[in-house]
Amino acid sequence: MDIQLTQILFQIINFSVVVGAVSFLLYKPVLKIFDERSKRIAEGERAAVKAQKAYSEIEKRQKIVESELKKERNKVIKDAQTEAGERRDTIISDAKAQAKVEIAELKTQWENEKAMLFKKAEKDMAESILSISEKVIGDALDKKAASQLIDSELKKIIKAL
Amino acid sequence: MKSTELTVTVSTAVQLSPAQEKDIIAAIKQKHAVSSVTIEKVVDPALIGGIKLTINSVEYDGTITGKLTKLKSQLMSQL
Repeated sequence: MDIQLTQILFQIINFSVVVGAVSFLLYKPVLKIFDERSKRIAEGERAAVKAQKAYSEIEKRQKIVESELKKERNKVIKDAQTEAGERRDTIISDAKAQAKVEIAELKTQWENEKAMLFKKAEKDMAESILSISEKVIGDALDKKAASQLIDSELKKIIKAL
Repeated sequence: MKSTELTVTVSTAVQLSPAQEKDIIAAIKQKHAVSSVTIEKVVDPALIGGIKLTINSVEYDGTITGKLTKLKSQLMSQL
């Protein structure tokens, strides 16, 4: 086998043309595609990191909001309990005062009624005593005693004339 | 003594005796200085006992009923 330099040279040139064409037509676009892909991946990663940060921030804010809500809820409950307690105390105090007034009124009313009843009883008793006295004296006075009584009273009247 | 006439109403529970009438007339004549006294007698058992004279609308009440009534009004005024 003979080595032909022209043939070798031709093959070298030919190969160089192929390498140059491939390099020009295929290698650079592929590299460009790889670069763009790498950029997109990097952007995606950055976006993921950013999203993660945002998510963390949102979680943090959510926790703060929840904590504040919890505090607010506890405050509202505490305020409501305090207000209810105060209202209860006021209602009880008012009811006690009202009861005191009503008891005093009833007591006064009862005392008045009692006094009236006693007065009426005393009057009834006095009237009964006088009525009985009239009957007893009337029964006890015979004709002689009646005449003596007239004499006695007449003397007093004559003195008074 | 004035020569006037006086009418006296005498209320009793029982009849007056003549002596009592006489005493009344004598006493009134003396005290009121009149020459004549007429007695109008009223017998009222409700008076129970004693005597009541009414002279010129003035009452002198010595009856049991009058005393009891007076006592009653005193008691009622104190109650």
